[in-house]
Amino acid sequence: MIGFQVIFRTSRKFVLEMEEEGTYYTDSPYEIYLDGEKVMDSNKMVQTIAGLNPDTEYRVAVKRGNEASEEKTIRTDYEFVTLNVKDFGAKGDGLQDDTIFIQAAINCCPKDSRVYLPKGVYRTSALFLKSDITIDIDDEAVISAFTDREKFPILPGLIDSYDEKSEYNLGTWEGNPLEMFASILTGINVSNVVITGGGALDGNASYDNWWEGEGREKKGGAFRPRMIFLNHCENITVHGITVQNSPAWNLHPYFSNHTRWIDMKVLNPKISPNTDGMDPESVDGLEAIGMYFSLGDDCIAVKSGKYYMGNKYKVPSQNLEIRHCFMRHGHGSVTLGSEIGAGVKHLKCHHCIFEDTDRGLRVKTRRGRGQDSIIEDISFENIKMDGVLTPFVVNSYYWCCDPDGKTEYVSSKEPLPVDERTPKIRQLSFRNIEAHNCHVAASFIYGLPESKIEEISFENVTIDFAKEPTPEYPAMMADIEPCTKKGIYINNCRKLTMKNVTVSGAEGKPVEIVNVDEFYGEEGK
Amino acid sequence: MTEQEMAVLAGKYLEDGFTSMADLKEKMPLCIHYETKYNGKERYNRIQEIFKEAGKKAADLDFSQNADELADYMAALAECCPMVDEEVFDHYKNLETAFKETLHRLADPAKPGYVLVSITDPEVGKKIGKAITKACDAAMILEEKYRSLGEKLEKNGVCRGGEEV
Repeated sequence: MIGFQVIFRTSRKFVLEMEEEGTYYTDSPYEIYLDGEKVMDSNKMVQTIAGLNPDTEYRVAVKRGNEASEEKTIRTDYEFVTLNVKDFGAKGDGLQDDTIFIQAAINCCPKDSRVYLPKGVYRTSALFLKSDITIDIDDEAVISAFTDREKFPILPGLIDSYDEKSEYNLGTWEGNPLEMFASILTGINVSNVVITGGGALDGNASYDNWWEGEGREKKGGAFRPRMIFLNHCENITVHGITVQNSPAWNLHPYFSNHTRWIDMKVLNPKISPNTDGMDPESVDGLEAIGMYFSLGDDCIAVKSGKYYMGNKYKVPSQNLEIRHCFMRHGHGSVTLGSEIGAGVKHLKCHHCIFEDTDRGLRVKTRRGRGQDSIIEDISFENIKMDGVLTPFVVNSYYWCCDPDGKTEYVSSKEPLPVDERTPKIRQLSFRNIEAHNCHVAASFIYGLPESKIEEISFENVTIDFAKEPTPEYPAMMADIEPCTKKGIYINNCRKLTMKNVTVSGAEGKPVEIVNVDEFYGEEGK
Repeated sequence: MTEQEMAVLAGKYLEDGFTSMADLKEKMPLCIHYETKYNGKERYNRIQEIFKEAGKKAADLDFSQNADELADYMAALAECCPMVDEEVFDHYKNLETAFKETLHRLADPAKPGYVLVSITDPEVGKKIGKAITKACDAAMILEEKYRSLGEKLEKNGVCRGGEEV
């Protein structure tokens, strides 16, 4: 029976999610009806219906052929007032710096109201959110960011308290509390915010500006900004907009809880440095639903800081759900790390498509992340992969992005003493997964000898290879060679379960397990 | 000094460790400079080990008896901390914290400008003052609380415990 749930609403729109076994797309198209009239066709599991009126009831149904859902009555939210940014002086002509005018509208916006950006191109530097606000970016509106560093305020990394007993952290860069430019949209300690619309945030980044020299170095006194940065925020929903051409990471909820990211597109060129799609960092409660990613680094990379932040604050990223997302082009589709100083726990990724990414699930960790760096209860279910180089990669010797990454301490495959810097990986579960046209390896999972991965489970997993695979390193670590069509490789694991796992077309052994203490299943199928 | 000469010295210093706080102050800046600029921070962990050992030794010293050694220790930290790559943040922070902890044994953090112990040797006092001023310049400590103390000590060299400098 066809059915749906309304998973999000504002005063002007709502989002429905189909109740059926689709993966980003439904198996077949359907029609959406409002008050008995057909309003649109869709083939997406998560669909926005916009152009509605505030505080109004609508009868909603979906139909497919002769099948019709139950009709549900949905009431849009109450809206007090709309603040049109053009009434505050913004021009949206692609020329004027509209920052202060849009900021004025934001600051003046009362509760239960919205700041509205109508059609236009709004040049801005950094905008700051406040609590209890909705920002609605019209389908034909673009917030088009400047790229001059001089226009952006700097968020200091750490500020000592006067009594020297604590500190205040604003800026962050790759897991450390460092100076960064304020982002295109920044929220500091705000709550109850909705950013919605069909419009776009465009960072206009390129190799002529933010990405110059790979962009990794601090320049102008700070590191590169994000597109949306939420620091210690609560109950934030970002919906519907397209985020593109970011200076660095796109979406960065940081020590922020209960955030929802719904029916968005995150786009960057394939060759663009550190343009991760979404980097939840030390968050509790996050949903990524119906998102589309195509960019130059990891699509979603879950983090919890490098050693200082992880060890001091011990705030893992936990309780995350990623569903009905489409990751097309990127390094990892869903990555854990490498900055996971406080660990990642309870992550469920399901009903997603990974296409032409380097890796499907990617875990990056290393000695030195710390004993609080625990990866626990991670599950991937009902995933379709096509053209992914290596579907499952767990790399406990990740050498990138740290000054000591290529030292013997990080790369040694011999057991080192377990100490306060040794990370841990507990449970990883992969179920109902098809990965077609892989290139490099079916799976490359390499734990630490002194701290083995505790439990890995594969169930109903089918993997095959491309006709002309591209050779590549299966993981960014020392002492391995590029390869193609390598089977499942698992090294340093306590308990491994494999049930109904098929690897077709591997060169060499379809399954190779090394230093695995307990194995349940059929090796070599 | 050429890079090769630095490499030889840094290698020797890191292998030998330190024999005194004066030795630490003399040798560690070169080691950090070399590791940061030329050697890919390969031996940063060894530098941390050396400072950790120094910290344990410093914890057993007190300003009334061993002010000169503690002055050298503070000078080493003030010189080396700003040279640590901030992206190895915990290493940077370890040195900063060590400096603050030592400073708080001399200067009362609740009463800016007041010292807890007396420094009677002007040369030692000036060394400590210089280290504090340097730490202010590097934003290792709160400038509004400590710069005046640092500058006064650097100028006068002596102070009396329980009093404002």
